Amino acid sequence: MRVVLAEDQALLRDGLVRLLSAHGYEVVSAVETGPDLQDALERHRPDVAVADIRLPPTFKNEGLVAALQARRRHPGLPVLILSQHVEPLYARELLSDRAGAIGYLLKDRVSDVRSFIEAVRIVAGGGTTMDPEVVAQMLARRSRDERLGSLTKREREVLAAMAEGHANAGIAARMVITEKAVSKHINTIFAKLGLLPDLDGNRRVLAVLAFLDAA
Amino acid sequence: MTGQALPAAGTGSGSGPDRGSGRGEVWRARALVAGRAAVRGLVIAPVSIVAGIPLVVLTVLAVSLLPLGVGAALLRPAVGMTRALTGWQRRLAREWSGVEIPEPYLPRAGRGRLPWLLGDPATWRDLLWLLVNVPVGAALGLLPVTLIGWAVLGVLSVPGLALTGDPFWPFALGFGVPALALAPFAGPALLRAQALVARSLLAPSDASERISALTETREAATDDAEAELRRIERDLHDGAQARLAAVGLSLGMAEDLVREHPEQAIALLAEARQHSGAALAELRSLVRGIHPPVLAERGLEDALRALAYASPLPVEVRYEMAERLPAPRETALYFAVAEALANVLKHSQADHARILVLGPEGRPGRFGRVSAEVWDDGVGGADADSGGGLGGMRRRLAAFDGTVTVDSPVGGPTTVTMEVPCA
Repeated sequence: MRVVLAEDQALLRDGLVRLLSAHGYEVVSAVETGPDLQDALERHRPDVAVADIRLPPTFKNEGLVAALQARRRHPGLPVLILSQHVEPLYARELLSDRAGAIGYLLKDRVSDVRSFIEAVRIVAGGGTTMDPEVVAQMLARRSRDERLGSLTKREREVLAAMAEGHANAGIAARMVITEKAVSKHINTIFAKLGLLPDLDGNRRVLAVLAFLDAA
Repeated sequence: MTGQALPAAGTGSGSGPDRGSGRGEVWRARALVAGRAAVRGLVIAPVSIVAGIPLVVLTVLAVSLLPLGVGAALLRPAVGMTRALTGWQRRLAREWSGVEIPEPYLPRAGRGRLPWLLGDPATWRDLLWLLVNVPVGAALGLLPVTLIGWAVLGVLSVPGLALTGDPFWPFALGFGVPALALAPFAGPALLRAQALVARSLLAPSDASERISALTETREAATDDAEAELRRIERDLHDGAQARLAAVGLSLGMAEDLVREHPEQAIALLAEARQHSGAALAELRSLVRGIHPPVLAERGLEDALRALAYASPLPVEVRYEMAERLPAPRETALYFAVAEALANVLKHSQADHARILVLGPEGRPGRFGRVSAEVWDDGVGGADADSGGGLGGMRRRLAAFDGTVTVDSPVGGPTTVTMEVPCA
């Protein structure tokens, strides 16, 4: 797996390079700035990009901007965005092209090596992983979407776990239910959200997007 | 005074059952007004003359003796008495003539007594008033009683003069009758004139009003900044610093144990990771309170959209301002809107809210100002003065000459409007 990494803090960048290499990823380019990230994404077309949201030269959100631009040119280019803070608004922007292969995590999560590597794997495989904090913030909002409001508490929990990127087995372990029960819940969620089996695109992504987009 | 007393007497004459006694009432009322003005003038005139000159002399003496040190001791009572006198003049102007004269004196604000008193332009304007008021107070104070004197003398002397065939009687009639007619109207007007002259010197000039507003808002701003720094210090001390110390401790212990008790070392490492995560979470919320990252990354519009998006309530955002505000104003406006929205969530029981930001271009007549409006369809009845949060918001915006207005009838809807000059 080839990775492009963008992080301006040297300590964290070196740490991430070491971490990813130790888990079988090849870091083809580790850059510091937004423009460099754009170049690297064009040149290397990595299997997955891991990028800090805030980069030099302006220290605004050039990591996010570069990732979104690259995905406009190469739909579905897997990108995992790291940030010191998470903002549901950004999550929605990242997901809005509905192509999946998007991750959005707090930098803190890097310290939990196993789940971080799992997140990279999910994104590289076309899945979606949202930070639990994004999910928690979205759950704190009163449900404004009737379709979402019709979900049971259990189904909302399953949907939140899906938003964090867990596969059925993970959700089952977390909620202490069988995998069969999980897939039953998920089918109900798809039905209630009006996501039909013959829909193009990843229904999991669409469900997460509906969850984020319940404005 | 004229305008208030006489129409009342006039209606009495019109509606009275007996026109003769009605006219009598009018004249009695006029005589009362004229007499009262005369008495009041007789209070003002001597005080103006007797108190004014010694106070001016005392103050000038005190200032010229300042190098000797005695002056400082003299200045304090001199200024004290002058201010007592101007205070008395303010009260008379308000109670007798309905003329409000606000106080222009600067707050002491930690300065020494002498620099404070000598550095206040109002001290010197008071002195000027003392001087001007000697002739003005004397003349305008004595005229009402003089007028009555003329009237009485003139009118009363006419029969006597006429009987003795004195050719002077038309003159007596000539000034007695007009004086009689004028006295009830002129008396209060003359007193009012004296009050207006006092106001022109004793009321704050525009510049001094501005200065006291600036002094006040600057103090509020520095107080708020100080309180904010204290809060941050406390949060860091009790939060992130303590947690990082715990991380170090856990790591150190793990290092000790790693060879002989690797299981315990692993547990300690996991603990260290938890502590570092908690420290980061605390720093994150602290940063959000100081300067929200979205505001730094995207500016006011997206920061407000993010605020609305993360709100438990459906919040519509309309942002109609092309230019960017200077960063401190954006931050202040952001926090003010956030506070207003938090109040909506806490108190209003609203189903919908709206944030409307209008730049100066969209609002003719509000040149150079930007307004942010937070509207909700809740229960209303929000009190503009009770909320501590609202007070903080007002102080924060006041540092930029910004304002907060609340329109919240009982039953709703509530609109909180914040306005800030663009630059």
